[in-house]
Amino acid sequence: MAGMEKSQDWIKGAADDGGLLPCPSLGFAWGLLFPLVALFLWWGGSALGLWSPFLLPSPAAVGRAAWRLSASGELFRHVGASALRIAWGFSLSCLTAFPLGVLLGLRPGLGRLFHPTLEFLRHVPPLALLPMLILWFGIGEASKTAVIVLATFFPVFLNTLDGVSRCDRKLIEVGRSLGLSEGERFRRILFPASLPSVLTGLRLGLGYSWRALIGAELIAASSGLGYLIHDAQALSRSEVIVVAILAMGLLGALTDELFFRLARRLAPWKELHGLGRGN
Amino acid sequence: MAEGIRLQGVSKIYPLAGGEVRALEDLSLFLPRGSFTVVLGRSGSGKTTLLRLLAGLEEPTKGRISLPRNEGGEGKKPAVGLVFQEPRLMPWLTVEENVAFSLKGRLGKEEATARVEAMLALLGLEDFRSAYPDQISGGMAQRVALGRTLAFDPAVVLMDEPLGALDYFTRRRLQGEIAELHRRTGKTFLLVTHDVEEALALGDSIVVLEAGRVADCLDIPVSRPRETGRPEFLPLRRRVLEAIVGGEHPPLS
Ligand SMILES: Nc1ncnc2c1ncn2[C@@H]1O[C@H](COP(=O)(O)OP(=O)(O)OP(=O)(O)O)[C@@H](O)[C@H]1O
Ligand SMILES: [Mg+2]
Repeated sequence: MAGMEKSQDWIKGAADDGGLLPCPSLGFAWGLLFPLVALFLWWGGSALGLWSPFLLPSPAAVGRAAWRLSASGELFRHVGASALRIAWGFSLSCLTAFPLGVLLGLRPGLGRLFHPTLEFLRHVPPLALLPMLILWFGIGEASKTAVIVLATFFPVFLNTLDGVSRCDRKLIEVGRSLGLSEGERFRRILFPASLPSVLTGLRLGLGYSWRALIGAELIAASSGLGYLIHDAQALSRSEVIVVAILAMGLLGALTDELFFRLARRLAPWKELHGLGRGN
Repeated sequence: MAEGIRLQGVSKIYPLAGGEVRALEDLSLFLPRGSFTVVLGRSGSGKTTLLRLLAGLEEPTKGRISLPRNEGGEGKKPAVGLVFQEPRLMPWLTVEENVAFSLKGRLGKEEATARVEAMLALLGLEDFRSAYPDQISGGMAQRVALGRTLAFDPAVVLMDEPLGALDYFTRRRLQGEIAELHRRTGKTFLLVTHDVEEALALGDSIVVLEAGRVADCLDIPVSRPRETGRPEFLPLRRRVLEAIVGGEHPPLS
């Protein structure tokens, strides 16, 4: 298999040369450079008393708050509540957005039926609907789920639609010439062909879901990371706010990384086109 | 009635921008089983249309097409395999998986693996089995496409300018390979080309298509591999050119 290794290298080289700016390849650890510098400046500034701890608490205070919130299990309870809402909302959204995207991708004629409605909804920020959603669904979980559904529906739907409608009809014709049934053509040609697009939509949707959810939790909730911030604000506990922000950023980056790895396993051929990392 | 493919009075009319295009007009042909026919014609003469009709991708506007029935009883397997003008490989599958594409769900795992192995060996693709389509050359991609079609063992193999996009040397080599495949499999081959030399090198018979009609039909009773530079090909070449350009072969300078 020596020949194979060579052609793999060749592809990697091609992907590098294709970039507009020559880019040295840096190891993973380099990504920690800026966070560490920021941490150092933060620590130094706090130690020198450059700002009031009320405006920005010291790293040590934040660390203590993180420890306390973790030890009492409170942090995990809030993270769990937020994550559960996202799991629900995101699943629900995928279950509607994906089939609809496939349907409209295959039958563009139906677009006229849905297009005005979808265009309208697309331009209304989900948080603007929150007061109405609370009226309809109550202050409980349902209104938060609805916000996430609204926030994630469009990236998933639009990317699925795009992937399906841009799938090369010539490839589908190959399936026809080989005697594949309509179901097989969907499963074995259309679906894999649009998978990269669908995965992009899912990844974007997952990112949007965090933002929308935190917004909703800030306004009306009794648990979740957004609520934690809201509560800390009322009590002027800025170190708790920083803990919540750090938790959000880390969780978001973590889910995205997991998702990226999943996508790479499901659609390895995309890597070959040099479209690996980045958004 | 002899076995083979029979077309009777086949016409294909496409609607186009308010008018219509007569891609094929009143075509009658017979391709005996196991023969190697080359369809030769200029761009737009209806060659691809003819193959699409035979492959069942289009219905004729008029006329009848009778194909051999599917032998071997492998379920819904079509009797006709088409190699498209472009390779049309699935970019998410490796060479090996592309060749196996038509076998999935039709053959048992072991049998399918054996079939794919044989195909990779036959087409010299073993070293590239795990490469993706954008990692291989155009000639190799065309061979993979051929392998994908041959793998499901169709009784009839249709090839639409399979070598059109390749350089002279690769084309010559693959021409030899196609002739050898025909000899070994004994299948009915129909190859479309616009290259007169390729037609002379490969066909048992050459069907010259001009503006959707059969302009001429000639047999070439010479065994393959052929040396088309030899004198016995001179009158054949003249006749083919006559049918296509009315003998007015444009001089180069
Ligand atoms: N789907 C279609 N709709 C309308 N016209 C078509 C269609 N397909 C083919 N035609 C027309 O039919 C004629 C024959 O086309 P065809 O593709 O069969 O030519 P060809 O001999 O294969 O040419 P080439 O050597 O360039 O591939 C052309 O005039 C073309 O414009
Ligand atoms: Mg053609």
